[in-house]
Amino acid sequence: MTGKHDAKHEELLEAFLTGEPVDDAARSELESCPTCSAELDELRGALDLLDDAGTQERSVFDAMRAMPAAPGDQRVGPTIHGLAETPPSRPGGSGRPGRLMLVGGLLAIAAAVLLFVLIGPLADPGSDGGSPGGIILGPGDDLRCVGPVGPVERYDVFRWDGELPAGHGFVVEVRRPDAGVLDDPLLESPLLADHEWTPTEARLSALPAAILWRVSLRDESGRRVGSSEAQASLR
Amino acid sequence: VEAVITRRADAVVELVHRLGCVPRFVAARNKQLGSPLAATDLEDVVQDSLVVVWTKLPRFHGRTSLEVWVYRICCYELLNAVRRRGRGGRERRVSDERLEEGEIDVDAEWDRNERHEHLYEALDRLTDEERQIVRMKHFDNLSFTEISQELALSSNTAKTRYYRGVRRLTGFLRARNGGDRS
Repeated sequence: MTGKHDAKHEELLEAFLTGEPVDDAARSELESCPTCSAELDELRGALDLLDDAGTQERSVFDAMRAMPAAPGDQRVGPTIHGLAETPPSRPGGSGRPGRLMLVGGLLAIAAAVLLFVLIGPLADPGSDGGSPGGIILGPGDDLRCVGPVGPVERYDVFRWDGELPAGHGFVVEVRRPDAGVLDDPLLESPLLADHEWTPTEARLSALPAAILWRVSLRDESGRRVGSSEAQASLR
Repeated sequence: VEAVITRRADAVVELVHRLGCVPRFVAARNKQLGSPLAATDLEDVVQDSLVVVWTKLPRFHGRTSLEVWVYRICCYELLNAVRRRGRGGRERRVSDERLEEGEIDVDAEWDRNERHEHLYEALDRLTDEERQIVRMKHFDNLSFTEISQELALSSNTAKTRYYRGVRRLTGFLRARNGGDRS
């Protein structure tokens, strides 16, 4: 027993992993080798994880196959057909449809603002002109990022204010401040019914020192109907 | 996926059929967790899961079956809903006392789900041959004899591919966890 890692140890590791018989002397030799010992610990951890995930997946699939009906069965068809009216966008593709939509959206906003400036005051002669009370807020218009905003000690909970109409939800996306709007976000929440979202500690700690995050309000079909953005950075 | 994105009607119908598993995944996993969510909550989780599936569909690369990919999304959405409920979300219903009584360790389940997600990501990075054998061994619970028969390989070849796959998987997991074992 030399304690030195060599090809023989690799063979023993393979034997251990594939369930081949490993006698006590060989096992003891593996455990006396620091490289093998660390390797064994890692491999055991990976095997445990594989078994755990495998068992869970198998039992859920078995239960799923044996289940004649489940809550929400009737929602599948209408939801997907509704969503299919707007095809899902391709991430990391050419980006052309996304950019075209973005340019189109910006032009539409510019036209709407121009129209409001020109026609708005005339269209409502009874209003007191310029009073915020004269503007009717649409869904998502009152969204406001609460935190993290500006310099912070650490990233933990993302919070925001704004009305949540029935059947709508929020989605939070976190990007680098210099990322393009079509780049995949570093973090993306599922559809949320709350005004806060806490990613896991591991994901939070992987964020860069400076971030740009956006919360958007999504309607029943998943379309974005309003959003708010904020930048934050670690002190 | 390509056909759905290009709005082929038959593909959308086929997708609806395939996604019939979503409510059952959600209900089955909820039951596994001790039924923390009531039927009305489950319907919301189904809806959220469908929206996420649709949004992320272009990112599905077919390295596993569509159902396995959808299952992962359902697990995440369900746990997220349970966690929101546990944090005192806006709507609290009948089953909330199960969370309050500590019958379900939501944080532990969340961490477990995270570890599973890292594992699935690592599995995605293996070669098709490696992934297939590792999945057959641990997810389908097959022996090397059964795997070698199924794939028409010698048992030694199956074992070698499995060993290589698990070693690489371990490396990906280590890197994902920021490990630096020397």
